Amino acid sequence: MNWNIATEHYQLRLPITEQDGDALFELLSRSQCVEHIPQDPWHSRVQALDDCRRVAMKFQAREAVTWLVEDHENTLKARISVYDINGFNLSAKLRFELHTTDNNKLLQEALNAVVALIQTSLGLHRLELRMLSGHTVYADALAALGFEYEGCLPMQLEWQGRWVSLDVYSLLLDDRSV
Amino acid sequence: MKFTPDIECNNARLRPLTPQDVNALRAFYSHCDLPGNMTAKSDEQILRMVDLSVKMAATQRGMMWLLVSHNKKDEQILAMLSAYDWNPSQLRLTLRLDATPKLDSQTASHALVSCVRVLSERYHIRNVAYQWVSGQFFYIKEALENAGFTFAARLRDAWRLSENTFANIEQFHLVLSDHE
Repeated sequence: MNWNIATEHYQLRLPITEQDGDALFELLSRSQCVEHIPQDPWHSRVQALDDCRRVAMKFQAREAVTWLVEDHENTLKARISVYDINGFNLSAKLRFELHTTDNNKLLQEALNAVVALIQTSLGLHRLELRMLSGHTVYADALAALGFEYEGCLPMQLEWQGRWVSLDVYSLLLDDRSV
Repeated sequence: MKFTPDIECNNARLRPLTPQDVNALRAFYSHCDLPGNMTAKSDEQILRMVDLSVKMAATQRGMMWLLVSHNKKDEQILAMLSAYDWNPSQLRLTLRLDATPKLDSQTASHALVSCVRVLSERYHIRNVAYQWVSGQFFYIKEALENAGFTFAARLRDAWRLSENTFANIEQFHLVLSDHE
């Protein structure tokens, strides 16, 4: 099966451990890329190598699939992951990191392609996204994709010295036409 | 070595699963309120679940208790309480009570309060989630409210019932006051 996807403006491909570390570090060392998750930005290039290895192992076990989103100049614009793939409940979780937070067009184009692929290839029913509560930068793009707000889970993790809550969104894939 | 503690409630008690519970567990699964629940087919499956419940507790990934009546001579299983999604570093885990028709709201509430107390005292849990699967006994939600839980989110189609049917999960939370 081919996991790489070409959209009108972007190429989504699986990461290559020995090749993509530097570009990933440049992306994920930017705090605005990861604060919606929330996560601290990377501070060492060795984190990229470690992360690439984890991504490869989880993909081999089909626990997760991660795509790098590049434009036609092969510049890394985003990373999208589908993880916690649960074959029994037919569900998975989604996360994404964008180079610039105002790029809703990229998010919609890339996520549409990812959702269509996992719907047809993995047969998943529910895709869930958890995000720092009150972080509304991506709300419009998620709504346009069909994600619905489900509620807020309190005090889910300690981040930057405080306990933070997470908003839950989900997309039911059977409601979409591929 | 015992990894799952016995917990005394008001008029019942929570105790770990044992290999001697095979027959009682088979009967339990035939009439518990968990939607989509399939009756265990063999003793081996039930024994494997008991074994997994011990291993989960030993590795702090989860725990399973039977909520039983106090009368040891004629012990009746009222419900099964499961703890899962245990995240020790974030001081939280998730509970679900699968009830038989013999359970009532007050006993359920006492069991939850007692369990949360033990989890906080022994395992430093400060944030307890509860997942109620749509179709389970409705009074459990009243028991949750009495135990101090508040509604947090409705997870659409998060519980699979059959090949193509799903049920919602309503998630409640109890954040202990010294955690806020």
